[in-house]
Amino acid sequence: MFRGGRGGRGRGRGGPMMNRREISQNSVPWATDPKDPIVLDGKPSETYPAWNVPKPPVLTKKEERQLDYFLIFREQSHDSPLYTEPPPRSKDSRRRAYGQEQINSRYADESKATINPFTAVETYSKRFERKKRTLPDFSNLPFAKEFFPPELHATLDGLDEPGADRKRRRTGPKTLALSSITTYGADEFEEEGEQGNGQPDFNKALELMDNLEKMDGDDAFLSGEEDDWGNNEDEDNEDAAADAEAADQYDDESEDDYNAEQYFDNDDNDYGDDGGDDGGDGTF
Amino acid sequence: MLVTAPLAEFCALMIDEIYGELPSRIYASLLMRGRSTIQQLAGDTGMNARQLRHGLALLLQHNLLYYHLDTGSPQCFYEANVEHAYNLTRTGKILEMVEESFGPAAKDVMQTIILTGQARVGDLVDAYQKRIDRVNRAMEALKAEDPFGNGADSHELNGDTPPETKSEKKPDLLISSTAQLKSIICRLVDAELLDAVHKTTYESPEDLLAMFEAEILATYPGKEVKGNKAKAEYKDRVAEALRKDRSGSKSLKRKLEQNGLSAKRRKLFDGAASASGTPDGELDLGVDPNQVICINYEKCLVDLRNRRLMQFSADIIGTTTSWVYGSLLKLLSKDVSRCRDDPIIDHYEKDDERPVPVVVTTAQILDTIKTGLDLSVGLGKVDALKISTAAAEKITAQAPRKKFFIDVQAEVEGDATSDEEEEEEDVKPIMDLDYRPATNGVNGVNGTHVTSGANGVNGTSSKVKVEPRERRVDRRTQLRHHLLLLSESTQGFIRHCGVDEWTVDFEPLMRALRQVELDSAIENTAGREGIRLVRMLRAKGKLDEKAIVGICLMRKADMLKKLAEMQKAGFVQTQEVPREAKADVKKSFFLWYFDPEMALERVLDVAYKTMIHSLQVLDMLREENQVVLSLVKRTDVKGQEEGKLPKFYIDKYAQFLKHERMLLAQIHRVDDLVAVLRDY
Repeated sequence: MFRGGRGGRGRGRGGPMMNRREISQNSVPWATDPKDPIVLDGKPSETYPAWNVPKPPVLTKKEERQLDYFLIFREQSHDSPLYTEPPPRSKDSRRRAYGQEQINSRYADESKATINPFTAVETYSKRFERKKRTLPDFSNLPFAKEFFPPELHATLDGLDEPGADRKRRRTGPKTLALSSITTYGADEFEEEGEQGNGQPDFNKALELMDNLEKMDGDDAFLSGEEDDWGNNEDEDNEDAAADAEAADQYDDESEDDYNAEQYFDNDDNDYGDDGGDDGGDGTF
Repeated sequence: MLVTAPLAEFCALMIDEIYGELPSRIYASLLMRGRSTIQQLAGDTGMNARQLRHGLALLLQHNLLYYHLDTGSPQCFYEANVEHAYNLTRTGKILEMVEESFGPAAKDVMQTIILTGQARVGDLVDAYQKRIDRVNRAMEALKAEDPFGNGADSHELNGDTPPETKSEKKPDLLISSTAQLKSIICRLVDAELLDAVHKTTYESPEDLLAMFEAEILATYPGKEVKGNKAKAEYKDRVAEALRKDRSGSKSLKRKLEQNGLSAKRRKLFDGAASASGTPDGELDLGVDPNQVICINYEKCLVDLRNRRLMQFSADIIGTTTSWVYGSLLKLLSKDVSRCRDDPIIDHYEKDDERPVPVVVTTAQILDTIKTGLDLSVGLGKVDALKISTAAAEKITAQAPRKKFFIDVQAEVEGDATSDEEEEEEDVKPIMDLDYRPATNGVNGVNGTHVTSGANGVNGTSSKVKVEPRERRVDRRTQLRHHLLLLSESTQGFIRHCGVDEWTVDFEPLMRALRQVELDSAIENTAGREGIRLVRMLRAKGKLDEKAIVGICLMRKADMLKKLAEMQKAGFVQTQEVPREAKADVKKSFFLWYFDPEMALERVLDVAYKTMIHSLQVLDMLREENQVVLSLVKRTDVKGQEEGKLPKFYIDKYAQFLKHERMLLAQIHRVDDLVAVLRDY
């Protein structure tokens, strides 16, 4: 049934009209003081009210140092073989999620179907890019296995792979590696690293020496394949090739019975790039 | 720790920031669903078992999980360890603290250990040995190529920092030998900053409790505890078993002590010199290379708390006094393993079984305090007649009972800022007469029991006469004056518990500090009127609005507006009390009151949300600058951005770095607040 009118503002609701003062008196539960009443301000608020943005005080020296250490720690952690770099997220990943399924769908993995055609084409400069890992690489690091539950032992050995049996190649001693990252971004621009009793200078020198040594090796330096953690210098080239192979393996995460992507994987060499100079890592 | 939704989200984001997305997703799910097996996790997160195994192993390696394996069961239950995840935020602070107290080399070791999570001593030694070898080889290679030491210009590198000149000054990085590394590990273990990983490290506290309860219950007849006396005894036995288990992580320290570290401790703690000085083999105290060690956050928090307390005392009293306080706390906290006692583990049925609080004597403090510190600074001068020595030297042997903190004091302290400024002006002339630099003359008058007010002596001529005699007081007396000053402060920094014996009652002191922090949070949100109302409510309890109007010296409308604003922010609460049997809103009393617990929860909640927001903004910034960031990470660009990137990109990158620093600094600062309100 049509009740008539558009509803309006309150008028149709019945009851007597009140002025502002009365409204204010009736809308609060406490008794108002007639001499000093609270008057509701009916004006619409300003669209862009002046807002006094509070400014934090500048960082003290100590805080700067704490921040530096945190950043370097983070950088070293990102450099470790255990770090898994997330694929760039899609635009709608930040939408509100209502339930676990929607949250999970945010992390739709980067498959060959979601490739960006503008950047995915293999170019020479790709070899300078940091290799992205989708799973942590445990195979080179030592672990105190007695403190892990037995179901994770194979993973820690680096044997937790689809074709695990043929992977029993790492028999040499595993070594813990130290990160050689000692600076983070800002130093290059602010040139403040110079004053601190020669310490940063020396670190820089060590980094340079590290680089130099890598150059002495072969053009592993160029390809950026040898990260500082790996300490791969002692390993022979076969191992490096096996490494690349292993990296290939990591890329397909799903171990379903039917893997449609595998269908295309076999003709990897069709891209024609693969200079063959270092093991040919033609992955995306 | 109560895990609220914002805290859970923050922990997951922090893990994402440091260890990557995979572990973060698993961790978030564990927090959301509680303990689960791999199968349950797979159903929840939609990841396959292989991904989960990798993620879980990573999280366990970094001590971010608990797990429980029932005997005979094929499956493991995993559970999130929120304390450790949250403490990742404090990594920078902990490293800075370690550097300050143990030198840069120790910081390097600490960083490596945090980075690896748990590490075998032998592996650490190998890794450092390898690095040392590598540096040596590189140096030899350089020397061979460049016999005249012309710097590195001959290489393809940019030669603005010739490696040789620097490296010859400092032939090795920070750790020059494995012996040095071992001695550093010993020192850190001795300071309890490093812990041994032991059998039950990865059992969650609940599991441990259940385990010991079942074990002890089995010894009772009928597996049942009957009667009050038996129940009390049972509780005591459980607590004792838990304590014994907890001390398992100290096994390494005990072993070291047996090996005679304590005899050498003095030598080790000689100062930071030994960190960079020549390493000697005798410091190798035989750490078992198979021992697995990890960071002990509890003790790190104790040390961070000491620093916060030092700062607190510097704010209230003065810098020199705070240095004295700092060395006292350092001595005290050698035997303090954690900030807060656990209600179950640290439960003692009889009071006489409770461990006695640690006591420090004046002589001990005098020994540790740096000789360079001028103790005469920072003490005011008052005519000796005006000090009541008996009151100043009063000894309080017993720890204060609850309700130590007097609320009126807060009002005095906060509102008196303007008075203090005046006071400072008054005191300054005296200090000038003393010919001494007065860093803090504010409350520095020794003895508040002065008959005519603290600043009653306004540089009279008689003062000058007294002066020469007083200047010759010995160091010990000066130190005692600082200590007395600390002990008679209303915050209760220390307690004079015996002749020349001092101790700290952390609980009431932290309560005072927490209140100061809370007050400043309220003041920043609600302004001076707000904090005034809160203090009033704290002193008086629950008040009707009419009663508040009577005492608050504000217009009623203003007052109500302020109260409503603060209620919205969660700082004050109302209670409705009906006047008659039939409740009617119109005829009810509304009592306003201040509940510190609720206010604290609210502030914490806002703090977590601020930190989450900072990390989210950082994520957005990364996405915006993705092009630049991916370029900067390239191996051919890294380290020489200036040469390889166009100016436009460099500016953008610098801008990003600046914003990143600001956001992370924000998190660090908010964490300071969280630490005081929740952890210390």
